[in-house]
Amino acid sequence: MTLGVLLAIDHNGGMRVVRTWPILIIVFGLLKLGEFAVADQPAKTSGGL
Amino acid sequence: MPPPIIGYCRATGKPLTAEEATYVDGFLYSKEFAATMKKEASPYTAPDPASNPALDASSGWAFILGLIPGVGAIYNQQYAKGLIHIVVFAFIITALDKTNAQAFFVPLLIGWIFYMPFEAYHTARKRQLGQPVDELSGVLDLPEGFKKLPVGPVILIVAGVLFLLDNFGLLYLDQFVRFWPLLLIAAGVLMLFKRAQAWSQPEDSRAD
Repeated sequence: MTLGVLLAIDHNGGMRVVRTWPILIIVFGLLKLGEFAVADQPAKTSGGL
Repeated sequence: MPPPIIGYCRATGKPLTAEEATYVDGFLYSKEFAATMKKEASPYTAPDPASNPALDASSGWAFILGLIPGVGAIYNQQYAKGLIHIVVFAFIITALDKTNAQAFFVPLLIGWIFYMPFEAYHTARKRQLGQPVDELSGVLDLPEGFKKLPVGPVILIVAGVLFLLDNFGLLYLDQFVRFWPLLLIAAGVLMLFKRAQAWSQPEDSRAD
């Protein structure tokens, strides 16, 4: 999704992907962080992912 | 429907659901195994408060010396932390000189200059009270909830932000790349310190 958004911005004359690619790393890091937060929740709130 | 498996315990290899999993130092373990890990005394942890005699370090002097990068920490006998204070200070000064991101680095420098003496003051107070103070307390002394923060995702986010700033001309990473051997030096100092700390523990706690 993030890659799609970055490419869409690029193709529509916005910021180039060569400059915005680090956003992919940031989003991936945030997703991993979210994964950690879900895994670390107390049992009563972790009925599923 | 059974809950999905999100990973495997690093120690036992047991498949874990979100309910059973927990992170310790950034690694996935079963909560069951993590509980047993906490019970085992680590050779790297600070000694019990009772065995840490109170020192006559002056918190006032610690505060004043803390205004000089690294010196406050050295006064508190925290040499690795002193080195980190100096490296961070040098990094900020270099960044101010070599980049256009003054709006970011000037407040960072001011914050760092205030942080060092207050950190030295509180460490000296802890030493006066005979409380355990580990070498990197203050630098890595996060609240209990943050200690379990996975290191990998945080490194990814920080790296992403740095690359983004570089791509937009707000930070010139190539100016810092030449200083990469400092990372080796810092890693070496930390390893040396950990080894020295392990050897300074009583013989019986090193048995295993």
